[in-house]
Amino acid sequence: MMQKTAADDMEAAFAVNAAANKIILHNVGKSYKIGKGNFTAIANVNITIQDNDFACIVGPSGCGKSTLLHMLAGLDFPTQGAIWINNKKVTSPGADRGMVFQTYTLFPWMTVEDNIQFGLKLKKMPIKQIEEITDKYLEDIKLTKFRKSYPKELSGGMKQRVAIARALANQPEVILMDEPFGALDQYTKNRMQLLLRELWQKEQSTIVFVTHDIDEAVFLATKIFVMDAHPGKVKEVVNIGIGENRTLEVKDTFEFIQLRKYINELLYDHQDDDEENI
Amino acid sequence: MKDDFRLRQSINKKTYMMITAVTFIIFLVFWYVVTAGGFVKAMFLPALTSVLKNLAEGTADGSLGSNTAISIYRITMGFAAAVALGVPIGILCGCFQKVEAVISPLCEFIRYMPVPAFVPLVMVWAGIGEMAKIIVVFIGTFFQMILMIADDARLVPEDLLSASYTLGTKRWSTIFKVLIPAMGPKIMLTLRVMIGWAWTYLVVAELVASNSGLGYTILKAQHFFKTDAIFSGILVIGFLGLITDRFFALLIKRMFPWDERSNP
Repeated sequence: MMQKTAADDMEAAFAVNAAANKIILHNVGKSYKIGKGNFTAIANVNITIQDNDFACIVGPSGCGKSTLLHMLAGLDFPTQGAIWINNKKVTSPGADRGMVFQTYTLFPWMTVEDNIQFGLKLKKMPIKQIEEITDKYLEDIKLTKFRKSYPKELSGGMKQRVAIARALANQPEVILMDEPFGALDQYTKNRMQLLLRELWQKEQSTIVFVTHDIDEAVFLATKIFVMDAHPGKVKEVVNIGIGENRTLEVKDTFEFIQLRKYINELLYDHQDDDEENI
Repeated sequence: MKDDFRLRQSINKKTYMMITAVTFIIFLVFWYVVTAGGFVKAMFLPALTSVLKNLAEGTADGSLGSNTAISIYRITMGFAAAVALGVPIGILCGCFQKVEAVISPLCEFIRYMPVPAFVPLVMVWAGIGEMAKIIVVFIGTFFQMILMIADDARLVPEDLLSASYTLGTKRWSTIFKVLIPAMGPKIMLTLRVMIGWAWTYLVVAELVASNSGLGYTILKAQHFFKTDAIFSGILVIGFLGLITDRFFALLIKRMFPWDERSNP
């Protein structure tokens, strides 16, 4: 679809040099034509994410954080720059990048088990191996009893747990999460955050997680990309050094509160200089 | 409760059936009283008893059965053809804008043309044989069906398709493994609505160009001012429609046990 140009080759060379990076966003921008003008939604985003990072992207609405995630998935495309995952340029969606959405996207005509097995069956994996993987993830998300249930019989939190298991079971290079707990109540949300941290540690996966909940971001992340809107860009990268074995109590520690406050200030700072975008 | 002003309160099944039964009984009693009491002329509204007698006679000499059978045959063939072609084309329309650009404006244009106006044309094309009636049912439902199925396809949430891509499906596997199963209940609901229209177009065809079928019996009865026969024709069609609708409702419930709407 796209012609290979000298610029592409240069960018590829850049990617190879940075081989340690699992995900590279190089000068990524997105602009739309509106009438005769050009509207820049995202400008010059440069992000690198390493293997086994838990990267959270936070920012005000309209900063393009969700668009960035869709670009990583190959569901949307940058108009400038390029994205590499494992030194492969992202040009279309694929099974190497699993995604969990805010809306419930389990296939409603399939049981929990069939949902988890969907990607594996597409890969034509041997049945025995599929069963093993299914058992493992059903146990991980503590829904073994529900393996034959349809999504309509599950609560919101359970549905998202299955969606996470479905993405993980496919063994993708990265997991992309677009506010997956946004529709859940606070109690369920807390439990999901704990579970996700646990799964991430166990699986050694690389996760990119978009949220507007700063508390959630600080709790989950190893690093947070704080974004700014109009146009969307990365304002600051904050490394979260609050230990790796986190329980909910960590949210009450001084370090946690300081980090939350710091990120909050970064965001409010932005809102002061254009009031009309609140 | 007297002060309970909440809307959409459910009642139990028994009460519901009772109310329905009473409604029908009141309707029949009213009909009986109005006609037997001589309040209206039999030519305008025949007596309930003479309609029932007409139905009994028709059943006894087999004419009712054979006319019903031929009508069912025509509607089944015409509707099946419309489904076999309309559903796949509709799905393609909903998935690919290039297909939509070809098909949709054409359908929008054709669907505003009154079907009865096609009847004389169809007779020129296909004579007055069975094919003519089947074609009329087909024309009446096909174009509309494409547009409605295309809409059903478009209503499948984008995120559901996106989830599918990120699990590894390509274009056609997304359509067959995700889009079509997801829109299953909507397809069946659309067909349930469309088959009601198919009955209308069948009767249109039979009224104009036929010597058999339920529409034809109604027309023939009109020539002889036999209002009781007109009524029995209409009642049979109504009854068949009701059965088809119940059949579809049951089928939808059975086919999609996973669907929240079909099986609350």
